[in-house]
Amino acid sequence: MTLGRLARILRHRAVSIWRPVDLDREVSRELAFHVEALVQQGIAAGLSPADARRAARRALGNAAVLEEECRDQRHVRWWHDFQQDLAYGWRVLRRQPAFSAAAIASLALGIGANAAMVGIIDAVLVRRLPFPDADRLVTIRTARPDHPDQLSGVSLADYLDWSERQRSFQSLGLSMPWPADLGQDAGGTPAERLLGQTVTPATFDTLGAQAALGRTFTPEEGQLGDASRVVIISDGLWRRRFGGDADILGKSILLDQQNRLVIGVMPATFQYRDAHADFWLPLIVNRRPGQNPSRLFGIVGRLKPGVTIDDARAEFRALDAALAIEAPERHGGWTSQLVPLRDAMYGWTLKPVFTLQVAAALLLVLACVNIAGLLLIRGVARAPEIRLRLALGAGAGRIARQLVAEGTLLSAAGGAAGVFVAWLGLQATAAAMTPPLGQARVPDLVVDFRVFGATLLLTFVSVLAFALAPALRTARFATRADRDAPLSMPQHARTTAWLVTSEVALAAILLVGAGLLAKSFVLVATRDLGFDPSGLVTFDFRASGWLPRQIGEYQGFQYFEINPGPGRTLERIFDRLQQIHGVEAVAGSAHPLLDSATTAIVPALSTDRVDVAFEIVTPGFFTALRSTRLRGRDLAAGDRATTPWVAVVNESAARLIWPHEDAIGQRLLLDIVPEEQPREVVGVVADIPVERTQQGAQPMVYTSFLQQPSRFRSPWAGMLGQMNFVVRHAGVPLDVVPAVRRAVAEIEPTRPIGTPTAVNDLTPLLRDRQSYALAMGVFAGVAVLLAAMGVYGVMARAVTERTREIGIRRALGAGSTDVVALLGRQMSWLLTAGLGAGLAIALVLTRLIASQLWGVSPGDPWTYAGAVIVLMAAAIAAGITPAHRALTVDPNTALRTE
Amino acid sequence: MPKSADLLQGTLDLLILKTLVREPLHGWGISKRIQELSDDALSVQQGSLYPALHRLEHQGWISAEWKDTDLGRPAKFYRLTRDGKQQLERELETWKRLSSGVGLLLRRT
Repeated sequence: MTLGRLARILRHRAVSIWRPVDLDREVSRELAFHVEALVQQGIAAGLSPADARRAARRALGNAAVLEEECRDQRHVRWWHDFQQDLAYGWRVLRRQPAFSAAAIASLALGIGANAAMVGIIDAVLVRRLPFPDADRLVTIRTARPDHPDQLSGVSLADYLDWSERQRSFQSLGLSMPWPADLGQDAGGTPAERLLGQTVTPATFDTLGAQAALGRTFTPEEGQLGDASRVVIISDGLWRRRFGGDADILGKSILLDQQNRLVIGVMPATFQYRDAHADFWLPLIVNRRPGQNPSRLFGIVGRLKPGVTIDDARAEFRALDAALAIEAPERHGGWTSQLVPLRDAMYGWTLKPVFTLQVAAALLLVLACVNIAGLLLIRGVARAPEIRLRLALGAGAGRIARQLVAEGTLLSAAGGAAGVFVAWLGLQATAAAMTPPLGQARVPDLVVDFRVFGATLLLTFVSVLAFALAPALRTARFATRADRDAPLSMPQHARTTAWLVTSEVALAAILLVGAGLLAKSFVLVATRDLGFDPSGLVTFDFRASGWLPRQIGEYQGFQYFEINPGPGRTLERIFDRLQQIHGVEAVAGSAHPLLDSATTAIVPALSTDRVDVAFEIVTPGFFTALRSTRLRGRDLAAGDRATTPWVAVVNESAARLIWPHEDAIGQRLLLDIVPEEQPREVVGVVADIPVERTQQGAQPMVYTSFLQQPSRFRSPWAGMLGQMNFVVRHAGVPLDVVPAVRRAVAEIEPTRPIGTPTAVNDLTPLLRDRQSYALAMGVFAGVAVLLAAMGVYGVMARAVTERTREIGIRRALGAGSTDVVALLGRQMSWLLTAGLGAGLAIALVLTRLIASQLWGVSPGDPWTYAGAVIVLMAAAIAAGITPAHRALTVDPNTALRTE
Repeated sequence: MPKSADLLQGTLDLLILKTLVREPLHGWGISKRIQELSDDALSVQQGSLYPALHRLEHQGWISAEWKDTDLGRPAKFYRLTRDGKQQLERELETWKRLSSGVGLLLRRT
C-alpha cells in the first residue's frame, strides 16, 4: 500500500468517525442530484414533470436504505454502534444504581487487590537489585542437615577454607552485624545507638557497590581491621546527623568512644542484608589456631561468568564433605546453603505475598462470578426488552454486543476505581511491611505503569469472563425458534445456582484462611508470657568501657578479662532506677525481653551434659516481672561472687535435666569458662519465651549479673556490659521515660539509652502479622458480602418466579412456616454444596500456609465451624427480604396475575 | 428501457474505474457512460452504484470533489487516483484471465 493511499484512507476514516453528519449530508445531496438528472431525462423523453419525478423516485428505490448502504461502506459502523451501545448501557446502569454500585465496587476490590499484589511481587521478585549483574550474587549460609530450614551464618573457618578452595565465585565478601554508639557531638546532638556492619573490603567489590561520596575500603584497611580507624556511613545517617554536609569526608566521628575518619558515604539505594545498617567498619580476617567458631557471619559471592548457582551448589556439597573429614571440629555437622541474594534479602516477604496473591486472585474470581450471576439474572429480567428489540429487527449479534458494551462500562469503572484501591493497598503495604531486624527493606512501592497495565489486562479479562458468557447465553435464548417460550428455563436456573454455589465456596476458602491467620495473631498477642507485661517499659543500655581485654583463648574461643567497671555502672543504674517516683519494680536481662534474635546456648553439666540457653539477669528479676509461677526463691541482691553460687531454671530446663527429681537443690555447672563455679538451683519459674512468636520450649538457666566470673569467653563476653532494663510503672508506661533518661544521665552522661518501648505494645514485633491478618480479613469480608449478594439474587428470583406457586399453596392452607421452609430448602442446597466444596478445598490450600500459622493447625475445627456460622448468618440475612416478600404474597393477587 | 444483463459480482468496480480513466465524472455520468459504451447492454442500478463509489473512495482508489454542472447545481465528481490507476491495471489483468478462461471453456465444450 502506498503512503498516499494510506493517508487518504485514514483521512476518510477520521472524517467518518468524527464528522459523520457532514458525510451523510453529502450522500443526500449526491442522491438528490441523481434524482434531478433522472427527472430532466424523463422530461426530455416527453413525460410531464410530475410523472418524471415519480418515475425517478421509483428508479432510485428507498433513499434511506441506499444512504444506509453508502454509510456501511465507511467501515466504521461498529464504532458508531459501540458509541450507541455505551450510551444505552450507561442509561441502563444508571437506572439500577444498587446493582451498578455493587458490581463496580466488587470489581474494584478484586482488580485493585490484584494490581497491588502485582506491584509488590514486582518490587520483591522482579525488579533488579541495585547491583550490577545482580543475578550472579549469591549468599552462603549454613545449616545442620537435620534442620535444613534453620539457616545459620558462617564461621570464620568456613570462610577461610572455602575462600582457598572454591572455584565457582570470582570473589567472596564477609560481613557481620555490628551495633555501636555514635557519640554526642559538639553541637549538643545527643549520643545514639546505631546498627552497622563490619565488612571485608571485598564485600563492596563483590556487590559492585560504589560510594556516592568518597570511596569504599582498600585491602590495606582490611588487613588493619578496626585499627585503621576508618568508617563508611549510610546516606540516611549522613543526612540525619550531618545535614548532608558536603565536606564530611576527612572528618572524624566518635563511634564507640573511638574517633574514626569518614572515608565514604554510600548511596541511598544501597542496602545489603540489613535495612537498618548506618555504618560500615573494615573487618580483619586472619587464620589463627582455635578460631572463633561462632556462626555470626554472612557471605556474599559473585559467580564467575558461565557458572550457575547449581554448579556452585554441587561444588560446595563436595567441599562440605571433604572439609567434614579433614577438619570435623570446624565443619562437622554443618552443610552450606547457597541462596540467590534476592531471595536472601526478600525471602521474608515471599510467603505472605504468595498467600495474599492467591487470596486476591480468589477474590477477583468471586467478583467475576458474582457479576456473571447478576448479569444472568438481569438478562432473564430483561428478556421482554430483548425480545422487543429482536422483533424490531436488531440482530442477535448486535444485542450480544450491546450486553458486552455494558460489561465494558462496568469493568472500565471497576478498573478505574481499582487503580485507586491498588494505590491505597500499596500505601498500606509499604507501611505494614517493616522488615524484621537484620532484613532488607522492601524498595519503594509505587503504582507504576506496569501495575496499571496489569489492572487494564485484568479488567478486560473480566469483561470477557462476565459479560460475554451471559450475553451469548441471553442471545441464544432470545434467538431460539420458540421465542415466546419463557426465558427462565430450568437449565438457566441451574447455571445461576452453580454460580452462587461457587461463590459460597470461594468465600468459605477465604474465610477459613483469614480465620486461621487472625486466630494465629490473637494467639500470639494473648499468649501466656509467663509474667505480667502490663505497665512495663523496656530499654537497653550498654556501659562505657565494656570492651573487655583479650587475654588468650579457651577451647578455641577468644578469652577475655572482664572489666569490672561496666558491671558496677549497671548496678548503680539498677539501684538509681528503683528510686524514681512511681516506679514499682526494676529488672534487667542481658538480652531484650521477648525480642531476642539470639540466645546464648551453653553446655550445662549436671548428671548429664545438655545444651541450655543462659541468661544474665538482675536480682529480683522474676518478682519484678510478676512471674506467673515461681517455686523456691528468686535471685537475691545478696547472691555475690563471694557467696555460694546459685541459679534459677525455667520449667523446661527442670524437666529436661531432672525429669524425675525436684530441680530445687540440684547443682549444675555452666561449662563456659574455668572460673565458673557449680551453681545450686534455688528456684524454678514458668517459661518466658525469648521471642513472642517462639514455639516450643526453650530450656533456660538464669544467673545474677552480680555473680559472674571475672573472665569470660567470646562471643558472650559482651553480655556482661549490657543490660535491657525493664521498669514497672504505676501510670501510663511511657510516662516514666523522661525520669529514666535523667536518672541514667546522672550516672552515665555520655551513654545513650536505646529507644524505650512498652512491653505490652505489640506494634513493633507483631505489626506485620497484624496487617497480614487484617488484609486477609478484608478480603474475606468482601467475599462474604459478595456471596451474600449472590444468595440474595437467587432467592429474590426464586420468590418472583414462584409467586404463583406460593399463592396456590397459601390458598390451599400453607402457613408461613411452610413458605419459609420451601425457600429454605432451596437455600440450604446452595449452602451445603458451597460450604462442602469450599471447606474441602480450604483443607488442602491451608496446608500451604501452615508455616505462617502460630499455635493453630491448618485443619483447626473451630475456625472451620466459625466460617460455616458466618456464611450461614450472611446467607440468612440475605434471604430475609425475599422471604418477607414471599410471606406477604396475597393468594388472590398471585392467582390473578398472568 | 431495454433489459440489460446483470453485472457479474466484482466487475462493477472494474467498469467504474475504467470509465473514470478519461475524465472525472459524477455518479449519474458514470451510469450513463457505462450504458452508452456498452450500447445499452449494461446498466447499473443506482442501488449498487453509489455504495460501490463510496467503497472505492474509502479504499483510496478514487477521490471526489464537488463541481458545478450544466444542470445548474453542483455534483460530486469522482477522479481516478494514481493508486486507482494501478488497481485498474490489476483488475484488467484479472478480468482478461477470467474471460479468456471462460471463452476457452465455452469453445471446447
